[in-house]
Amino acid sequence: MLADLHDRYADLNSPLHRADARVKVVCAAVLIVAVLAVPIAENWRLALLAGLMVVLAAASRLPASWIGKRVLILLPFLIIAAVLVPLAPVLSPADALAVPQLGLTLSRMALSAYVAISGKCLLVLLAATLLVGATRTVDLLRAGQALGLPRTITALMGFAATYLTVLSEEAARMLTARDSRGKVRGLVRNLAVAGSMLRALMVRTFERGERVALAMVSRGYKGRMPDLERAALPLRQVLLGITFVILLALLYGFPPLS
Amino acid sequence: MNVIEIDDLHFTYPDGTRALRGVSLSLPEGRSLGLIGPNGAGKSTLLLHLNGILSGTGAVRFEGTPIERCDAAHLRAAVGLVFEDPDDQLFMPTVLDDVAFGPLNLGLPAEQARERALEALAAVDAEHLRARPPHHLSAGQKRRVALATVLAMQPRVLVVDEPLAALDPEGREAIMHLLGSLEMTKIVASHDLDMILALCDEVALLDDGKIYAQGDTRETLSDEKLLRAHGLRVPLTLIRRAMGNRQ
Repeated sequence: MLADLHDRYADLNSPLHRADARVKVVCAAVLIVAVLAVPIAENWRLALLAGLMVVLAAASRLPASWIGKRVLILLPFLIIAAVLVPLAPVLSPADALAVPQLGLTLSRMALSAYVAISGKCLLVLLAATLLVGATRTVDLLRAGQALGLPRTITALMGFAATYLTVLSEEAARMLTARDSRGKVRGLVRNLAVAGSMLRALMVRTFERGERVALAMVSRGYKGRMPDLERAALPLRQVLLGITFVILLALLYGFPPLS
Repeated sequence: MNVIEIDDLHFTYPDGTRALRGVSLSLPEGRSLGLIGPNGAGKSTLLLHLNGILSGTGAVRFEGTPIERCDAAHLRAAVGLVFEDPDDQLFMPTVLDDVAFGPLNLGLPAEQARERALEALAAVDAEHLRARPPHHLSAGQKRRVALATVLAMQPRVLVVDEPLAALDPEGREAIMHLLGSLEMTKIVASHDLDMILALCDEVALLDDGKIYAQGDTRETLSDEKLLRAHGLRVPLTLIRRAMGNRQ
């Protein structure tokens, strides 16, 4: 496929890949809540959770570069926020933290808030990346449906997942056709051509949507998406999920070292 | 008995395009009809009338009953339509989901729908693709799976629009062989007159919304003057045979 945007590593064989998608979604959700619930005063717990995530990332056998590229989209925002930390006022002498190497005095509260926010953002993004990387899109949608997402929502998301690939291939063909007819010169001209291509793609997308609707009606669709029943969750998978949640609870409740 | 009967069918699109101008044809049970004609002749529009998707003026009957009096679900199960672009027909997360879509809509229990889907996939030699997302398939695989989505509904009449478009020679041969092996009433719309010659008992030539000829396939496709007048050419198979006979 010219532009396969999904499931690039979803068929690897790892403990994370083999876990049931329903268990993975629930565990990811619990992990994200646990990360977000860490109080600022206990930022060190984020390090424990980060350690757990590193273990999960290693177990997933997903390429580190693939994970890194996705997590590092946060970098610009982290840099901008870091620039703001020295600008935060120091509220009291106890709040002051001298950094002689930089010639700065920082606010401890501001620094703690920055560590908390940036750490939590990175860990939440890492959790989502591992979930998506180690699970096929179709299994994620089925898990969402099994866990209570409305059938219409999962159906729409399924269509988006399917046709995003189809449309991206169509867009790629349009770009190839454009490039085959010589170089478009000038920013204004490029924007005009891009606008025309986008318009054509939108019209084709709309027309395809109409044809898909006809195809659905031709096969008896009456307004409600049908679904084949899925297998019940094996006990082993349930125990795996419970074990993970207990481990999280232990890390979350780990007493301070001092 | 005629499975499909069309009398004086007219259809105009909302933008004013007169797509069908008094089409009349009939198809006996068990026969296969090739619907041929140039681009824009109205072939696809005509096919969409057969399962009640479009509704023009005039009469369209399925097994003697006017289409508008047929139960829509029963009609769409009985007249299975395979669209020209398989990407329009394959929209579910996996191949098995797509092929089971029709049987589930017919009210079959999940287990029975799954069995039908697997049988249909086996019939098109695509059972090994059941867990794959449809958009990951090759063009030939998509065509076979698109056919399976309709076969799973166990239609009485199979209607196929341009089944060989965009296929390589091996894919074309596979689809032709598959269509030829299906013993059911068929309507095949195509520009590929060699395929029509191989698969169909009779042809109807449609141009500018009207039927200009209907009859025996070989006889009609040998009429060079008729074909050229409507933007078509005599199939290569007949040309080669004629050249072989002269030698």
